[in-house]
Amino acid sequence: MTQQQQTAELTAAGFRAKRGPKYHLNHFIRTKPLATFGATIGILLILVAVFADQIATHDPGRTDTQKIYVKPAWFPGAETHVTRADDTARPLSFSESILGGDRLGRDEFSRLVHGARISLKVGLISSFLGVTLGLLIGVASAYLGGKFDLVIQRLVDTMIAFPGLLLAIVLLAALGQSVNNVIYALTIAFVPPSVRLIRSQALAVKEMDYILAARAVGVGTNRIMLRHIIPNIFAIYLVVMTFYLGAAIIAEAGLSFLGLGAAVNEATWGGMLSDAGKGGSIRAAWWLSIFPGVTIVIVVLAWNMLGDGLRDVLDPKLRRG
Amino acid sequence: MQAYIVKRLVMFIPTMILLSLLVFSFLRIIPGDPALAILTRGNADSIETITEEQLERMRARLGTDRPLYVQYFDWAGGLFKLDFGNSLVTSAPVWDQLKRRIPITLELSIMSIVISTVVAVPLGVFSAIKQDTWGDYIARFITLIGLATPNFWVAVMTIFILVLAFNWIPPLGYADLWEDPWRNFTQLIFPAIALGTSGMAFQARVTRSAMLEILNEDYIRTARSKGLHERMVVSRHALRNALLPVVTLFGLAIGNAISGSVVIEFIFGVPGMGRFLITAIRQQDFSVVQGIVVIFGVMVLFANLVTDVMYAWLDPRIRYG
Repeated sequence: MTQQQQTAELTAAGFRAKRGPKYHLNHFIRTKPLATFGATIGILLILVAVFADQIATHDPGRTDTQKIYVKPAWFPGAETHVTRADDTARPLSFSESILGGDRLGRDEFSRLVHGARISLKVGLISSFLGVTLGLLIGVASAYLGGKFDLVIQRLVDTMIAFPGLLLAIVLLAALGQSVNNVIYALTIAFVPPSVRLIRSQALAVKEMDYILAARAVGVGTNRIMLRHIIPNIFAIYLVVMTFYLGAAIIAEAGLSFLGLGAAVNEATWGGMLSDAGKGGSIRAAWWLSIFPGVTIVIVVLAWNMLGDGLRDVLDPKLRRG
Repeated sequence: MQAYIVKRLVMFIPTMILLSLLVFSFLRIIPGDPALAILTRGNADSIETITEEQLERMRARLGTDRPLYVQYFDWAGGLFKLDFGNSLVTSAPVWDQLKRRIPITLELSIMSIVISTVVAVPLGVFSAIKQDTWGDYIARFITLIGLATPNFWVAVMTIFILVLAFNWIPPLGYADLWEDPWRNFTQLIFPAIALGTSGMAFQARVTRSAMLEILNEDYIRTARSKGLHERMVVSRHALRNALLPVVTLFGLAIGNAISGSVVIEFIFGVPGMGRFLITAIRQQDFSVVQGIVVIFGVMVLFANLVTDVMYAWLDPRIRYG
């Protein structure tokens, strides 16, 4: 947009005319290419997770002795000649072996697609619940102050002594392993650090004149917290949530890798990585330890880029290296 | 300064008490009776054959027939004498098994922090003084990737390269630091590198943003205007102040290294506390789990204490604030 056009859009009073959502979307795409890339990957991931059954070419749990350690069809010199039941040798087609087979002959591509489902489910629910609880507790702690604040802060200090993954591991040890328990464990692990972050933001907002004004006209405590403080720290809430989404995806993969997360035969990215290191798989099929790892890196990178972009747009004060 | 240290030490006590309470209650939320779990270990069918009398005897042996608060005081009182109870599996005192493993995990964590700092600080400084050049973009891209890469995948990839390129086989025995320092170093260096990656990315980002902020300060302009060589300005005036936030990350770095060591030790077969924790969880040896978690928590709290004191020592504004 040229300078003249920009000036033309200014109204007589010198204020910029209100722009529609389409303008803002275009502006975001133009000024934040990395965040746009992140958002695209994020949406793609959601679509893959929702339509996993349609996208996957095979049943992720089905083993096929013909496909053990079979190379992906597009690899140069892939030995995909397989003797089928009718005794004819033929190369596997692309859709039969997009990413090859693992040590039990399960289809790697289909497992990756189904893994997105668990990964995203754990990521979305635990980051939303954890950071939302953090928001409520953090705001209450900051605004109410006094003994309540003191108790919460001591509890948070202590919980932070168990760094993220460790707290989740211990909770899972106690709760037993299942996808839902991974969600609970990560939710609990995300609460203390988000309480601390939100509280420090809420403390600054609490001192603002508009809060004083609201109190002066007799607005109640709950209403001040919900209507006056929370909307003013909503930006950081969203940003923290995107970052914990990435952290949750890494943590879920780590827990599945250790065999403490989802059931062992379920298709998870962490479980696939752990499988890739088992029973000489590294020598037989090195690519099996590449695909899930690269997928995790791309997905987490995308969420982090989106978080960076959101932070810049929503709250320029927070902008940092 | 002394008053500040005393204040911090006094605050340490309630945090420690809370920590012990938390760890104690974590493992009381386990559904089921530990006595029953021990008696039926190995074969689940034996539930019917266990008599009430056997259960009573086992509960008395474990001490779980007493009221909860008696159990807590008994356990917490033992902690002062380094008595962590006995393993539910081997019946040997937990401390005897832990004391060999603590130095290994500590050594691994410290090595990883040293490695990540040595790489991250120069990278961050470079990125800041070359702001918005190709070098900066590449450095920032590396740190973004580093943040998105799970350390267990780095570990898998490290092993993968070692196996394929150098025909590496995992070491069977573990060499003690004081008996065979070189072998000990070669055994821990790769796990330490894998453990250090995500911390490195984080430290580099913090160094960069701190450096950028300080390069805009008035005293940097003064230093430049009096004709000081740019190298002197960066190393003497800017870097010293920029390292402050990096120092304060030490507590966080220790926490991340410790929680990361669980997975890394598991992958590389390092006989430290992390691998012991996973083994104990799989065997449902909850007195060992409790002991390890308490020690991890104390380590992190202690690292936070050291960080706070260091920060106050480096920055007088904190101790008088």
